[in-house]
Amino acid sequence: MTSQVFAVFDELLRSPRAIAERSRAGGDLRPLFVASLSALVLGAGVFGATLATSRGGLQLLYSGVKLPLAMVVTMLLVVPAFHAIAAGLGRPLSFSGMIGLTLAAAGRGALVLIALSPLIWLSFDRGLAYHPGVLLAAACYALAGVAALDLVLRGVGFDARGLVIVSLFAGVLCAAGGQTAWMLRPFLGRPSAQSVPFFRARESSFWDAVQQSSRSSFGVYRVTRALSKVRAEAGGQQ
Amino acid sequence: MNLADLGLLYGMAGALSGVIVYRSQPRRDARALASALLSAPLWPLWLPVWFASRTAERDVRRSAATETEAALLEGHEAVRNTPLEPLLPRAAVDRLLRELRRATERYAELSNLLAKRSFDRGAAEERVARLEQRSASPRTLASARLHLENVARLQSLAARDRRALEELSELIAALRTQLVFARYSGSSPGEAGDIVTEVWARVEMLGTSSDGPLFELDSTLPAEEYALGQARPDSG
Repeated sequence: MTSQVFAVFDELLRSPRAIAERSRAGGDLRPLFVASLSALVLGAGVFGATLATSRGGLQLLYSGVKLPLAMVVTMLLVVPAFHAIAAGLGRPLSFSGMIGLTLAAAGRGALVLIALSPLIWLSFDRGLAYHPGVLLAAACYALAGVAALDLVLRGVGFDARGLVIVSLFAGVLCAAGGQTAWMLRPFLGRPSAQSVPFFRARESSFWDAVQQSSRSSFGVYRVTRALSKVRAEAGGQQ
Repeated sequence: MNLADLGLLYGMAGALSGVIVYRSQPRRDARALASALLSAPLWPLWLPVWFASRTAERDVRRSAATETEAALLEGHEAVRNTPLEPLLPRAAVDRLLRELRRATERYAELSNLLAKRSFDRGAAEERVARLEQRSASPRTLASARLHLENVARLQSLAARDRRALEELSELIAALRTQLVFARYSGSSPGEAGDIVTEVWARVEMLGTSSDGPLFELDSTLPAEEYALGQARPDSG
């Protein structure tokens, strides 16, 4: 099976169409699964560690572990939803084929993240600040997501119905993936933080964080209602 | 139910999946362990892929036999109600199909048996080596060697059956095209007749493959296997 896994890895990079056809055909998808999972863990691990170069130290290890974990957990959450969306809109694939396709897409996205890692590294090395860094990372995720969704689109069919399915799936993926990653943060590590926590305390939500980061990158610093509540509670306890 | 409860349930289901995957593997080796370890944390993704792969493997084995049967039936259809029909009459087709199914089932049984740990040749060889190192009693050693020989014989049988089935399958495919060609070109059925004769010869061989000499395996066994005065299996 090892040679098959390497062959699939090669296809993942060079021939997304072949991967999509393989997923649609079903059958023995174990090599595809193993190759895609390896690509996902490797790609997300490298990108996570690169993000942490802004902080360095223990954060490199934490982010290198947490980003693959976030992506794998997201896959666990979104695959059944994707299967339901595709079946509901008249494009049923076998469940195992759907798993193969989604995981292969995530693996491809992770390989794109590896390709973007030098850009992140260079940016932080040239002194990119925390908030613009978060936005740059988000832009990299978006680019990787486009590469991944391209593969998904080939799998479900490149037509209007396929586009609707992929759009709905992208919505689910963004919400589930964003919230999962947000729960597992920090990946960059705040410059002001004294120590490097594995997980940060829960505050507000992913969407609040996106809004806040966007404002902060333009120099508008506002404390959200949820955050101020948490801080007030923390102050009260002290 | 909070996140910790959910995690606990997920972990329990993962452990159960790992055990199921490991126990249902034909060979409990490193690959089986890797599959079980992958299943424990990723069971919602790995289990469907794993089950689908097993089903696909079974289907592939079944469809190979079905293709040969289909070729045989197509060959008969090509000559039905033509002067060529005596070459491959329905009664002959039915008998060929029966023999083919019997041989395919026998090969499948043998393959399943050899996939079990107790029929693993590597494990049997390791056992003999371990007993030799431990200086076990000659009787224990002889029994272990006999087990190893029997496993090797079964492997040899399975390999021979597989080869015979593959050759027969190709021959039947050639017979089909030859009969179709003879029908549409109106050419002499001479070559088709030769192939039919060859098919019957192969089928007869399939029927007797368990009675023939089996010891191609002798060359693969080390000479020391017979060192303790153990009789060669074909010497009676």
